[in-house]
Amino acid sequence: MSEAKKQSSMASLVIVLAVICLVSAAILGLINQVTVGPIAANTEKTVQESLRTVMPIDGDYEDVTDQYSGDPVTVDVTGVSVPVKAVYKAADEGYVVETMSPNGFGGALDMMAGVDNDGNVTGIAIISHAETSGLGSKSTDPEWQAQFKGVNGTIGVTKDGYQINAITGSTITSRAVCDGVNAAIAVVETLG
Amino acid sequence: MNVKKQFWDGLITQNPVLVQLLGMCPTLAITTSLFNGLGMGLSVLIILTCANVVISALRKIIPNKVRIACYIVVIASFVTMVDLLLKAFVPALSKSLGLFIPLIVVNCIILGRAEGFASKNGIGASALDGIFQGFGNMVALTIMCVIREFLGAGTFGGGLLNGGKGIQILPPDTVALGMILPVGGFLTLGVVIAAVQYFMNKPKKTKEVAK
Amino acid sequence: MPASIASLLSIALGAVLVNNFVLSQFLGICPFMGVSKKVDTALGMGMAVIFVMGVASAVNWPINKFILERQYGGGGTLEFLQTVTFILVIASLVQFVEMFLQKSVPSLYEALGVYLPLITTNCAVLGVVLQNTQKGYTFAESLTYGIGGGIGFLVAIVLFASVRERMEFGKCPKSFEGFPIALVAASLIALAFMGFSGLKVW
Repeated sequence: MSEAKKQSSMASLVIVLAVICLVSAAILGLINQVTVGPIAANTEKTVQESLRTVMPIDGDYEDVTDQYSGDPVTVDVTGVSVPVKAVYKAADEGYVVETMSPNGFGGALDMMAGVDNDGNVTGIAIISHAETSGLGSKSTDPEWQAQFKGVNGTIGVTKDGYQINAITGSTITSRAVCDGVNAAIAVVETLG
Repeated sequence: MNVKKQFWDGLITQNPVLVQLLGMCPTLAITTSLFNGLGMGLSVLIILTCANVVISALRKIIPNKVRIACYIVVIASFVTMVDLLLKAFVPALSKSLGLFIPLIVVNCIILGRAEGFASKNGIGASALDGIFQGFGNMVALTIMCVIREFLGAGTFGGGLLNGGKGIQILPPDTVALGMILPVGGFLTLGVVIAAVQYFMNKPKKTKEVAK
Repeated sequence: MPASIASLLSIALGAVLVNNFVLSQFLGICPFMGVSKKVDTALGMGMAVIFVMGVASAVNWPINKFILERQYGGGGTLEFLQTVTFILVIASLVQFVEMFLQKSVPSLYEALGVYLPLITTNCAVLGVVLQNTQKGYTFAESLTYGIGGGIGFLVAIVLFASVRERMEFGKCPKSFEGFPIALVAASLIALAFMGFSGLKVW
């Protein structure tokens, strides 16, 4: 008698838990279906907006990532190896390169830098970051980013003897942004 | 079901953060702007209320031995729902709160209320409990945000007002950057809880004096 | 990206000092505050957390890679089930640790008391697993980050416990007794750990 009771309660444990799991998974699957579209659209929107900020052109940007070898770029100034995520051709003006600069304070910085045909930087944009709010997050501030317009050659922070004023209290983030820009310049050089 | 008592419990006497000392991680981590605080507070309130209602509805069916596992699945499901919906429709908040949205699953407040209240009370009372405790949590988070943002960046309403920059009250040069960092988080919470403890102890003192 | 020993050590160092889970990332605060009154209990809790974080990282990696992140027929993945799956795996793991400790090290089991099952709700454990997926770490990197994070937790909690043990003998304003003064002490330790930012040995 108690054996049967034990069996039924064991079964009920498993059944209840299993049913709850299945119902949850089903509902979540549904919500996932509903949100997959908008989430992808949001990501695409961010990319397009960033492209327009970095290097505004009249037409569309062409994804030419396959034209690049795909190798990460080793930046001279800091010795960091920066993976290249995507390369976009901006009509005849130049290219916009998206890189994942690894040495941000909170992790990799997904950023873009536009380089024109003369090798000058036209602008930068930070697509996503995990930097400290109020410190490294200031790297998304257009006023700070404006410094990068028109620079060329090797980019670095004034502390290392170069031209960019780092964000107060966020030298690490600032250096990481410079890494991304240097990598972009190197990529565009290989593309000619 | 005593609505008034539940309201005051949630807000003050049993405030989940300041009195019960639960849910410390997000309170310390994300309270750097008003946008974060309100967004997180609202998310927790919704998840807490939904989880409370479902768990209360299922309380007679869930066997005792697997109850924690069941609660976790229910809570995790609502958290995932909110996570997906935020990513799709309020991406700015999703980015700002980052990892701490899925981490709501292990927010002690929610599991605590599920175990301590929803599993023992009716659906209506559990729903109210969720709303009031969630509200108390939101108030605590807002207090932290306002203090840290003001002292650390000199702004009010970061992420919400003034096109996202917040209203600059103190000049940028005079602020204590450390308030936005972990140092400031611990310090602010310590002072706020001390203040709460001070006020909670006060009425007893006056009663003793009256005697 | 092949993981060299240097990059693994760098990940570990980051988790312990530069981006300490408790003092920089604010993960694992509840047990950090709750089990730090005595150094021995703190040590025991720290060891348990290292174990859980390491094993959780190891077990969840293949589950994520081969079940959740796989492309299925309809063109989608099961990534949205990450949170639910990870937390269930962690909860089961902690159950096993509990049963194991009860039989093998009952003194530690008694000392940790209610805080042992609470390792399930330790944000650091779920946090590290979620970060492993977010950062796209390989198995070796995930395991290193998990164990490193656990060690970071241990360092933070033991340091904190030793400070709190000394604080028992000090006087403080009545309103600050208990939690508040502990939080102020924690803020000073967090300030000290800021000195590690930018530390790069490898």
